[in-house]
Amino acid sequence: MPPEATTAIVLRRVEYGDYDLIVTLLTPDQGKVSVIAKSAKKSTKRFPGILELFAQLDVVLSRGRRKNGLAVLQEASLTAAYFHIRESILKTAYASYWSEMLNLWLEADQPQPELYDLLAFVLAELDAGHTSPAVLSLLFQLRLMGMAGFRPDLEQCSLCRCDPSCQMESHVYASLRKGGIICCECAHDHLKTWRLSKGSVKQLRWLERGDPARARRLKFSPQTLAEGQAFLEAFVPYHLGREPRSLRFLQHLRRLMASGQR
Amino acid sequence: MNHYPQSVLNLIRELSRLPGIGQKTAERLAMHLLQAKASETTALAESITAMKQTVRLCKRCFSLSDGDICRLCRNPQRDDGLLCVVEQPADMASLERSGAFNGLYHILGGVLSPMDGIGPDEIRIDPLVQRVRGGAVAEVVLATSTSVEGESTAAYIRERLRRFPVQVTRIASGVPIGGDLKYVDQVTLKRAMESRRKIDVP
Repeated sequence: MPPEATTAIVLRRVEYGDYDLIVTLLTPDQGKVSVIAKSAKKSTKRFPGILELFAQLDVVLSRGRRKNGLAVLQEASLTAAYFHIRESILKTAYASYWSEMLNLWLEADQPQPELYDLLAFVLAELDAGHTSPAVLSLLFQLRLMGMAGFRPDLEQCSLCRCDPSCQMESHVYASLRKGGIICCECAHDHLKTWRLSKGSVKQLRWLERGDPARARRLKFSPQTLAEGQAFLEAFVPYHLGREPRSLRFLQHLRRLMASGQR
Repeated sequence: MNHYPQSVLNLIRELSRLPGIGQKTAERLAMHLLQAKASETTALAESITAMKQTVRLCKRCFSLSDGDICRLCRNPQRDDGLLCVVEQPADMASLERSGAFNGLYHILGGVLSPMDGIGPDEIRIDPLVQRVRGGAVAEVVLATSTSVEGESTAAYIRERLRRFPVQVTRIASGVPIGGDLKYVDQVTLKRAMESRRKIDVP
């Protein structure tokens, strides 16, 4: 088969033998693709320091005759390195969480142009530092769930279908199993795990549907961030069926930072 | 393969477990050992046994050592105010070969890697903080790799050491000696340009 040229973002890289790397890429047209970069670890001309996590690349791949065999990375050139992500462990942890989620959830060789744009957007914003990593993570998780067909229902009660904004209470509850919010009248004790203020629900709805480029201008209260984070970081692994290791790392790091140990 | 005696088959099986050694290479090595003098094979066997019995991690820097404290940490000629943080003992060996460093080392035993679940508790960051808290260290040189994980580990250590009166530096990244500029990646070139230095006129 002739070589294929595409843009790609590095989701994962694993050492293979003494010199090779197996790199998992997210591409718009082919979705998740695993490629072998031969002699990449000692390469000074073909892949010098560019097959790094989260790097955005222009790549040329070639596939053998075997349909399920690994594609071979022939060429790669860097289009965005995202220098500032690697200069912060917190940013690296967030970017790792997003990449690992995609790596765990995506089927290989299925076109994912929207997901590619979403990941490229959040990585660029994370690198630029205009938007808080926590807000970007809420945006990413909400939109990923929407694209995966598990969009949390933040509009109406998942049980009685009422509009909770018409009720007196200032908060609602959220259920992983029901896949969205539950009004106070329907929420029994076992459904009261995640409490969300109505203000938080409104901002989460905006993050899900608003223009992502405007997210940097919005002010999110610490309460909204904490509530949204707690709910979505339970919701996403529940529906994807796997808990990313980087999520545990991220949560541990945030606890260390909160205790001032970092 | 079955035509070999059982003892030879055992040796081939054990040798082929070593990294980079396949069945054929293991067979060739076994044949070589079979033909070698008895004194040579005994020396090899004894050195492997002795290594397993005596080598441990230095209690101070966590490099490989024959005793509780390694040779470098015991050497009074080394500058104990200068501490270089590396990932693995092999990184320390490379720096030692360069002859460019005369301080002491701290081996982390890896780097922070969110996707592999390696957090601050899995590598030796707390012992490093304790060494710095001891007060003898004036400068910590972070010599972790320049990968995303290495850089972010360096950033994390810098944060952890912020509250101590110690200078924290990072090894420079730049164009390799004898390297061709057109083959150097953008990241390295950017770093090299940022770390450019004035040329002193003699």
